Amino acid sequence: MVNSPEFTRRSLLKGVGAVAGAAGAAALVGCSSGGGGSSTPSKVSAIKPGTLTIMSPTGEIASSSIAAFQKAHPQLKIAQINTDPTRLNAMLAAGNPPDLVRDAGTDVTPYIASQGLALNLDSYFEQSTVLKPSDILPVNDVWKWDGKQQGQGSRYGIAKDWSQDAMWWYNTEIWAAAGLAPRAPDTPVTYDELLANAKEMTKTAHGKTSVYGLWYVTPNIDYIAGMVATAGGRIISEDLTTVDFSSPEARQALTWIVNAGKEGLGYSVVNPPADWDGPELLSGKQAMANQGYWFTGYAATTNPAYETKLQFNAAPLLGSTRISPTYGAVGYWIPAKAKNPAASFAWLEFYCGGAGARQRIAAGDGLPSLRSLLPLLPQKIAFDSKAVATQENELSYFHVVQVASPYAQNTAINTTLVKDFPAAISGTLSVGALADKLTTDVNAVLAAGKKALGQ
Amino acid sequence: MTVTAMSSSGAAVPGRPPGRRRRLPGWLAFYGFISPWLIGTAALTLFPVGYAVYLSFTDWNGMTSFKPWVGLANYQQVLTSGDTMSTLSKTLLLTAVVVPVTIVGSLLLAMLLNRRMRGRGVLRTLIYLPAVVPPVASALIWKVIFDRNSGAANRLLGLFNVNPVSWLTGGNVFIVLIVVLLWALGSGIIIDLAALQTVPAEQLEAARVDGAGPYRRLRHVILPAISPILLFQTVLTVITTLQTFIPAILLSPVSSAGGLGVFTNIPPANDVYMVDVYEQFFNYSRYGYGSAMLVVFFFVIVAMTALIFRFLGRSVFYAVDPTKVHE
Repeated sequence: MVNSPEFTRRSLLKGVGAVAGAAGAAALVGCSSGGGGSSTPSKVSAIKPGTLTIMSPTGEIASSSIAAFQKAHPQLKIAQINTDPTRLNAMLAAGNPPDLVRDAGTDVTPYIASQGLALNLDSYFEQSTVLKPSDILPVNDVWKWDGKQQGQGSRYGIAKDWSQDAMWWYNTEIWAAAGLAPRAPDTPVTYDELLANAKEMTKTAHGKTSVYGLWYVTPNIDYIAGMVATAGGRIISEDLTTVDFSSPEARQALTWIVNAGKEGLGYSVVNPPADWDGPELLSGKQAMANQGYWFTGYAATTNPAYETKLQFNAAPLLGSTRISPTYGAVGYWIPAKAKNPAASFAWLEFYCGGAGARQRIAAGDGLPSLRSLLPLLPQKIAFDSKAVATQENELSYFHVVQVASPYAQNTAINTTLVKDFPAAISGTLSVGALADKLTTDVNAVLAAGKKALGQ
Repeated sequence: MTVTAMSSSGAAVPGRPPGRRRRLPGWLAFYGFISPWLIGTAALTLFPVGYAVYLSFTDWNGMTSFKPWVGLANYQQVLTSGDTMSTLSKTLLLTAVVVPVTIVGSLLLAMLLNRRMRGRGVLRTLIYLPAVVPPVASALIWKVIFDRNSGAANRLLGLFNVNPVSWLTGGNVFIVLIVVLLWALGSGIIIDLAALQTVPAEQLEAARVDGAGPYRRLRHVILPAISPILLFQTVLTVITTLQTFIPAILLSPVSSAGGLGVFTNIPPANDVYMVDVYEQFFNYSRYGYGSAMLVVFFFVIVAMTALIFRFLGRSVFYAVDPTKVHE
């Protein structure tokens, strides 16, 4: 007779514990193998054959670009993974990051550089025959970090294409219908003027707005810092550890955003749109859109008939300092632990300065990272030529506006802003109280980030 | 019959019968059979839970290998943070509204659909239909319906000369969230319909003969008969409502971090507990604090479940005493 097996709770738990322990230990080993990178320039290595993994929003990179790159580098194969911060964090923490990450240079550079997550690319740029430092436009200074300031020091990435995002477009038809004569495209207006014009163009009946005079005003740190910079102020402290929204310039910017929302002159956090500015402007439902040069390409592909009704304008001013910043300089950075950095840099050369860049720049999808590519901007029709003229004039007012901190990602700061603004727009919080609350809340976010770094 | 094997010398030696496998020890067979489950549970449940508990004692930012140990600081902050308590109370309010309406509403509709009437099958299908719509699609449909400028809700109000309402901002978006959650009433109805089939017809008939009206039949026959199902449904609905997440974030406006895959524009009114956890993890990169929130929430759910059993368990009628059931 065979004895029946005896199972006790203890023996079962021992078995489960052993399996769980083994799995846990294995995973912990994987999870703890991440590490900081070096802030010193990396030695330029040779391109190794293999797969190049790019984390970027699905569909952003055209298949023709990938095919052209693979043709030029037959030893490399491109694999794309969709932008996913959670996945990126896990990959970075496990020491197995993608080879390239698409990101906004204005927002991430201090964070990824100071934490050793990004590769210092100085050596690569110095040896590049495509991305020559002398040819790189100043916008790429947002990808620089010297350990204390953004805009100076080593390069950690490069923009693929970019715009001066405080610039704006208007629908001339709506302006004319309101009897308004807009200023010349290269003459900046004040934010107050914009609000006054928007008031005249906004059409509301029975509580329903059929035409909005202003664009979709979203309170985010890039936008506010850009406004404040034109009044000679700044939001983030010199050492990037704290913010101050209570300065006179910051309060002026907050007042403008709150008033725009309160008066319902455009979409806002208390009246969000179903979509972004573009479709609304091109369907005659919005008189202005806060978009940069890249919008020419969008208008040309979406609604070419509208081109005759659009005018591209200089960035407005809150004060008297003419500054026209970028809110992104979206491009790529190479993780410090990337397995094939030379191949990653080859992609940067191709897509941000080589054949891949030329194709996009010629389509009007944005400004190039290289000065030598500026002549490629489309100018075949009058609409294109006017937009390029306005843009060329605006380039001289580009300035890196400090918005990012090594202690928190801008996503964290913007999440906080969105929580605090609705009360001010709905009138339950004064602008002064909003300024104090924003200062307190964002400083708490920065302090928590600093603590997490053991500082 | 004893089967013997031949040794090399030709002598017969005792051995196992040819063609028959040796029996595995019982314990080995047991662990062999349950090992897929054990490995799955260990890798996909026990390890993540254990790892989350470990993270809750750190201040990890989710990217670097450095995980500063902070002891109980995260727990102390969770339990004293006004923001976290606010999201918890909002979640409890949501549960307090959604659970009773779901339980009572699905039971009443199930009783209605249990009656013999023309088109009953079609009605049952129509009412159940929303329950099979994926939550993501459902939330997006409601977002379109409640859009201030082009939504059907405001068009309907417009017919009565009512000015458009900003449904998706301020406190109104919380009402829309409740509507979205209640929309999936159908699954509760199906469970109740199945439960109603188990009510003994002879008991209902006896009650009717004894002069019991519809209310008394419901109170004294139907409810006791289906009470175990109602208890199950209550526990399940409480747990799922406490964990509300997807509809809350999908009712948000277009995110300013478009393309980055992170929701930054979630209206404060929809800042329920799991949304707060999401924000702590992915917007603020506070993996330690977010993990501590999850551990605390686990105990909140356990406590609420225990309370339900403590207070409602007494009213449940079991045809067979569950404590005396033997295999």
